[in-house]
Amino acid sequence: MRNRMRELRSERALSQAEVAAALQVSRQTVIAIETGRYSPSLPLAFRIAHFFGSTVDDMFEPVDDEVLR
Amino acid sequence: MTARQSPGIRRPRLVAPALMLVSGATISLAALVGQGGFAALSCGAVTLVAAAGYYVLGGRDSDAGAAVGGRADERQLSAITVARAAAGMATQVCVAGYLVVAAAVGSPPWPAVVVGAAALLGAGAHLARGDRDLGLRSPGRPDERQAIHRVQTLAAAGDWSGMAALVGYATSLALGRGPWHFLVFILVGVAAFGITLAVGSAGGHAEG
Repeated sequence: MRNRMRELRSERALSQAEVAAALQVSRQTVIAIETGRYSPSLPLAFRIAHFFGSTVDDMFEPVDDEVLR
Repeated sequence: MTARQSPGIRRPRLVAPALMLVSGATISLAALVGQGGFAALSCGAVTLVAAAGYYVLGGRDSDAGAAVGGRADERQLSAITVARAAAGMATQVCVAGYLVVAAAVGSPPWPAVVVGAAALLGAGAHLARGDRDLGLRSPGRPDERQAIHRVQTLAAAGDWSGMAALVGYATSLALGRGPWHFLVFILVGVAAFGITLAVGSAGGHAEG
């Protein structure tokens, strides 16, 4: 799953720790999501989208093999 | 710390060290009964060091720290469940190996039977609580829910076999019998848990 979290975080000049605190997750989890190593649950995905003033659709994009053909 | 705190527990960081102290005190008492004062003191010393280590680790800003410190978020809880499942599988491999060796050398197989039966009971108890669809009868790969359910079932089996090994270890100590049979299962489970958690948490870099 690709996402725009790092891009939006950089635009807002926020640290990973600040985003983690706002989302009530660990800093390690923010890192894992940004690097694509972890796909968040639907509730967390909505929290992330809401935090960045975006939508889940806009924040997350499935990679090719995650799309059902 | 930033992750969600467990509701109802004021100091989650103290839970793991407290559990370690209670388990260690029980094992020390068993050692006092069956092995004597020196063994009990040794167990007590190891328990104190381990509990202090857990407390220190629980304060660290890492996945292991969050796991031990009782403040794991959803990704870390998932990693812990996978590590528990890995511990369960490793213990069952150890049980199978033990049974083969016991049959070959003619020694009693009951420690492995106890630990293996506890794993089966744990898996059964988990499945009995609700969802029993592990996707074993479906063709192809399990879907997302079935895969998660398989890991949770293996984790429950791991928990129960670990508890059985701990109880077996304490009982063997108290009865003055060789506790090493059960210690093997405990060490294999703990090693598999730690390695899986460490590997699952590796990678990525911090910034900002």
